[in-house]
Amino acid sequence: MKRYKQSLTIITLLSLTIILGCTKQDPTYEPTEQQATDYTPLTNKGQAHQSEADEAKQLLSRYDEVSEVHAINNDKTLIVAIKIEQGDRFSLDHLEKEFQEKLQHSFPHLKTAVSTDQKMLFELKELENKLANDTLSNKTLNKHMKKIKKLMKEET
Amino acid sequence: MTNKKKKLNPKAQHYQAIQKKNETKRPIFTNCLKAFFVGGFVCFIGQLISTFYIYFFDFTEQTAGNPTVATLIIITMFLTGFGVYDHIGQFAGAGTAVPVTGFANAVISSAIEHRTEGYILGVGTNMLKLAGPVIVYGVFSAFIIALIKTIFSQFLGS
Amino acid sequence: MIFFWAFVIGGIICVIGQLMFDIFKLSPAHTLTTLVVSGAILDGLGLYEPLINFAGAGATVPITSFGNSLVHGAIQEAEAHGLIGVITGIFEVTSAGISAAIIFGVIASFIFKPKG
Repeated sequence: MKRYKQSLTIITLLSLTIILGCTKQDPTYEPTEQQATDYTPLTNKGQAHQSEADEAKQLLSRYDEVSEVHAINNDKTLIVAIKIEQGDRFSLDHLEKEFQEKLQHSFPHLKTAVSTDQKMLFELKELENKLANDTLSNKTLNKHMKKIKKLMKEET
Repeated sequence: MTNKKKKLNPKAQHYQAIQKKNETKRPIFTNCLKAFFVGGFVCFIGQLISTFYIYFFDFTEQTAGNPTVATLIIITMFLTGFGVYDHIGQFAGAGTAVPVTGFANAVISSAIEHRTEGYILGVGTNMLKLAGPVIVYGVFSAFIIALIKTIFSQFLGS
Repeated sequence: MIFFWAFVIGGIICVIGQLMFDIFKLSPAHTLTTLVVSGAILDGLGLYEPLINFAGAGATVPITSFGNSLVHGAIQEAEAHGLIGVITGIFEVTSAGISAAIIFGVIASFIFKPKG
């Protein structure tokens, strides 16, 4: 029983040290002028106009924290999927919120949705490839976007 | 127990001293190394399963946790049933006990072992022997923590 | 990259468990209970979710994530339905582990023979 109490005390002290060490200062993120992350520009391909998506991609790829970015838009919605650098993943939720706000600010006429999820990255990459090869109609695009938005809202 | 030493008679103290001297020394560093590699490997497999579900089915990172855990537990059922899990457990110690597979192994091996005593009194009663305190104190601590957090946020919010 | 960190963080949590076995001489029941309660406390402080974001399965596979899910469910339900949600919401998020363990335990008792 005494050993249990001992171990409990030590674990509590360790935890307190960890907690005090993790200061919860929310940093603000600024884009850098360095080499921007590569993305696939799609503006001039196919029937679906992706100029806003390209703009969003250009905007987000300048951030150091973003290692990959994919985006699709139709006339009402803009969906963006970003991959965050491993080291920055501790503040994933905060980054997602910030980028969401920045994008909504830049595209007030569209409903923006940002995701850091692996699934969205994969789905949007496939959609981009299809658009680049011109094998996607507007109707199918809208259907896929609806499905992705639904996936984004899912929680366990 | 050690603060009651003064109340023990000399014979019992003597016994405790002998016991401490002859206790098998645990190779702590080697044990930790084994636990690290086996435990890490189990989690690595979990990540593989999770990624598989994300790419081949309509699961997201958020929702892939449940099927991953269920899959790991099915695998554990077979490993436990064939006696393999206990062998690995002897080698790896906490490496197999700490992941959710260890929890499942405890439940499943108790269920198998006590089948001879009947399904209600044997399997049903003994299955949750290890799982019992885990669930009981998990739920209770979650209740306290959520209570504190909700009351806090209500005070700070309103 | 996340595979590497899943391995490392999962390994570290298991090492903490091993230290509890070897240095503090705790039984598996004591160790697992302590780990679950620690997971719950860490989630209460908002520290477990970032760990999951960083290490993926390295944080969701160990038993500590069980404590995390319990607190998560309770808090989610409390935000939606008020203080009573703290009681009603506990098992909302976390059914997979317990249900699967029990179900496959019973199935195993049908098909496997006890040894020795």
